[in-house]
Amino acid sequence: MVSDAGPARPNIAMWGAPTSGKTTLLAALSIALLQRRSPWRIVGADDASTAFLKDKAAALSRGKEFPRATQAMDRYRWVLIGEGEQRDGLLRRRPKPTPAPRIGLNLLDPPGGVYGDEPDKFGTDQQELLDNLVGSKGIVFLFDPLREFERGDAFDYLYGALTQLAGRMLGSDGYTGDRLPHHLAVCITKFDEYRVLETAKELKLLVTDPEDPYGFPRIDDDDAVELFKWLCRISASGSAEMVLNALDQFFRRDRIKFFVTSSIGFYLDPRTNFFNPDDYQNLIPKPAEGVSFHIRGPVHPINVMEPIVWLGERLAGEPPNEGPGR
Amino acid sequence: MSGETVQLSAEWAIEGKQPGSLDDYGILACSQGQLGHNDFAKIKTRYTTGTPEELPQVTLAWVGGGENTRLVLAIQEWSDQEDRTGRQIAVTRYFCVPYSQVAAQPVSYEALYLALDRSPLPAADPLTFSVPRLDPAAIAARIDGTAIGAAALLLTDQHVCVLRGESLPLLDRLRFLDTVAALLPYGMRTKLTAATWTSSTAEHKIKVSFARHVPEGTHSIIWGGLARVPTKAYDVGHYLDLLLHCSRYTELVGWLAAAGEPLAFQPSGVTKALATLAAFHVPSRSGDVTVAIANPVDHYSVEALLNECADLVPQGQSLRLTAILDGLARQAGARGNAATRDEQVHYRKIIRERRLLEGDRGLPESLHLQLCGVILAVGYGPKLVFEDMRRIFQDFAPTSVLMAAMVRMPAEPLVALTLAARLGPETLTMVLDALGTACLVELAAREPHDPLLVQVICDELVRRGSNGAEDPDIAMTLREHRYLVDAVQALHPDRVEVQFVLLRKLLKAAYGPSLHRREFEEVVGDPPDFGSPPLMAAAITLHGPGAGEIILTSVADRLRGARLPHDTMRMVETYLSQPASAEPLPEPRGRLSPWARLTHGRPRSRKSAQTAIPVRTLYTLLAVFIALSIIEFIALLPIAQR
Repeated sequence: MVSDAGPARPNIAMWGAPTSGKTTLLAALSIALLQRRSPWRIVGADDASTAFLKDKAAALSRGKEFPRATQAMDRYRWVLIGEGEQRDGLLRRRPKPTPAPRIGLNLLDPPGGVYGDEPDKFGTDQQELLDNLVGSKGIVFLFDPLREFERGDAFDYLYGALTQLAGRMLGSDGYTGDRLPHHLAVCITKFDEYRVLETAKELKLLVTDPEDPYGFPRIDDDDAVELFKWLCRISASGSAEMVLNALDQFFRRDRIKFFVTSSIGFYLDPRTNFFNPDDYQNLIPKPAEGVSFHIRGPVHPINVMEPIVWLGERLAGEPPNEGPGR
Repeated sequence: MSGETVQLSAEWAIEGKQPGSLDDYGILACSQGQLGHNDFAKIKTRYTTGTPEELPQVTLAWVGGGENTRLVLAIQEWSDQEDRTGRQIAVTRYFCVPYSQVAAQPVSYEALYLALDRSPLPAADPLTFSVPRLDPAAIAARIDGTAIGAAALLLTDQHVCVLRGESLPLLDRLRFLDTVAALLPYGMRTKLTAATWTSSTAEHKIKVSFARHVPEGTHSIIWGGLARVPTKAYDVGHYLDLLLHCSRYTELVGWLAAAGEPLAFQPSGVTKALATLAAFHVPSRSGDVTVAIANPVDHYSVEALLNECADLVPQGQSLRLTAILDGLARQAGARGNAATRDEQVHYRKIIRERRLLEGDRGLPESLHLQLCGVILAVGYGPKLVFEDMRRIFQDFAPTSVLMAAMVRMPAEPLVALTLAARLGPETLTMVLDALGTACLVELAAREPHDPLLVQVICDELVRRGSNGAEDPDIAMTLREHRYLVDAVQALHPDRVEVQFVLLRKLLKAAYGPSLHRREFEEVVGDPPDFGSPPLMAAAITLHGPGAGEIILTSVADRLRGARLPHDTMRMVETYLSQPASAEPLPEPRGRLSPWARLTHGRPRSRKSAQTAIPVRTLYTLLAVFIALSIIEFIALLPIAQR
């Protein structure tokens, strides 16, 4: 038996350095949609993608395990399903249910090393990646402040691949725009980490959603870029500020949106089940090791579904990108 | 041939990452031969099987061309080290053996693995080792329909995915791949890629592998099942025929192992492979007539083969029967979905009349299983649906052999689970593992309810959500199917206390040991749905104190939404909030109750004033009745089973 013809082309690509949390964000997606009682549901469009949603979410929430380090170009086919509405029928006779909105998400999740300057070193196929980026319409770019503080290489993992992508698209005869056509969700990750949260607190960017039963602090999406700019200043290499410039140069400003996210969220004291500003770190060093970390309590993803839903809504109904030679 | 050893050498590399590192995986060390760091990095890229789940795994591949062709063997296993985020680091050892060293002295993949797995890295440069020469008899003993089907499908040059076998021991999977490779000319190993596991979400370049799900655009074959060859792939079908009708597999494996000229999986290579196989002449199973292997049984009609089967079964002619079954399997595989509905109806008539699926035929169990499997594929393939299963059991007793053969077919989830639930825990576990939570809940909710199925599914849901586990699908799908209250009621009719216990377990599986307010509201509904008292009771006992307040609040909100007269509403709220011993508030005036503060009273119209008393009384009685019913029901239950 042979299954259907070739795989669907990805329309959203995850972009970020190794360990920036690309796969973890995806693993946390279904947890986030369930915990937030979102009007959106996510289902797999094939068995393997369904299994990822189920297994990785369970491993993250039950086993408190991060997904394994990605070693190949993974593809997931999911569908976001919204809620239909009851609309009055003709002459207000009988209410008519409108069809539930459906957004297809074909996600590409490559190993972070493929975006680096030396993709060969990590044995990843950058040409294949670029082929996929040219055909995709949305990008989730993950900026990891912790890695930036230690390594300062976010720019390295952005600029090399970005210039090649721009060369392929903007440099081709058939393309008339001056910016890449992709919608870009910039996710500042690891909001749960002490230094990130405290920075946001200092900047007075924290707000609390009165509807949130746990009282978690958040940052309005409109303020996220402020935090991003500040976090760029702590870059070990000093090159992070160029990340923002590069994004500005290559993407349309009206197609960029910033989000402050955490895939595992804050620790909750099981006795109070409420955010404790004095004890919220959910990722802590393993005892007697000091090298690696583990998740301490249940995960409560923050701002994880929002970038995906935002991209999905914008991509719905858009024609595919026309890359050179396609 | 066996007993001889072959001296070989290998270049090697180690892939992994430094402990505590933030890096991606990369080549950490390699031998200093012709292949350098970048070459191994390319090998890693080209032959990735995806992000590992279970290790160890083995990948078989090739690199280079002409005289520089090498066979690649990669062994991936967990180290005891972790990266910065606490993720265990996988280490892959790559070995590249010059093909020229094995072309004239063939060795098996298993022998390479056993020799190289014992070689720690870094090692000498190059690494030298010896392995036993390929033993055709050992491999021939493992040939079955699945291996034959996979070998033939490989000639389509598309990925062949073996399903339901990924939980077999590593060595069994490797031996299967070895068997598949041994059914092709040895020279095809210069272009063959195979793996004991591939991820179903990853892009990879592996031709044959075990996997959990079928990626798009690939052939699939179920472990223990038979291949379905595309009808247009004539050469592939022909190759399959030749393999199926061979009776001297040891000689055949030796014959193919001697064909060491490099061949590609391209049309020219396939033609040469077919010619190599066709050149091997074998006697028929009847033993006395030698037929050219290139003369398969296509001229037999399915009908004739079915009748011949029926004739042979009582005679106990196992060998002849096996040959006929091979032919039938080939016909079923080649026809695939091409058999028309009318044809299948005709086959089923023969199957029914000739009692081809009857139990207790005096055959060895494995042959009986094969008989049932092939007959089912012919009459009810390619996918067994529930209605056909029902018809089969109308015509034939549901023996364990028949059910085992049915459960091995591609089947609707309902069919697979119905059969597995009756076949014992091992089969049941395998089938359950392959089904998602949403599918299970849908099956349990399906009417008419099969009590055994409902019990099995409920147990599985409880298992999936037990010990602090959180399968997010459980809550969502249970909610969509009203927490299976109808199914649970059908499972334990008139035993409300058992329904309560089971529903409580399901809720715990879905939400954890206690229900938060929003979860509680989700379960009982807003307004509360009293259609299932056991569900309501289960939710209340899992929420604990305060449940009543939530219910009463919801009832009050609902009543308030009905825009009852202000005074009526005030009285309802008062009675809902006061203990039974409290004196009722005097009719109008007085302080507003807390709920009333949340809304703005509308001026009472004359008409509403006139109707206020009867409506008020009605709703008050209703609210009190509901509250008392809940309290009484809980009081009657055994104290909070946990």
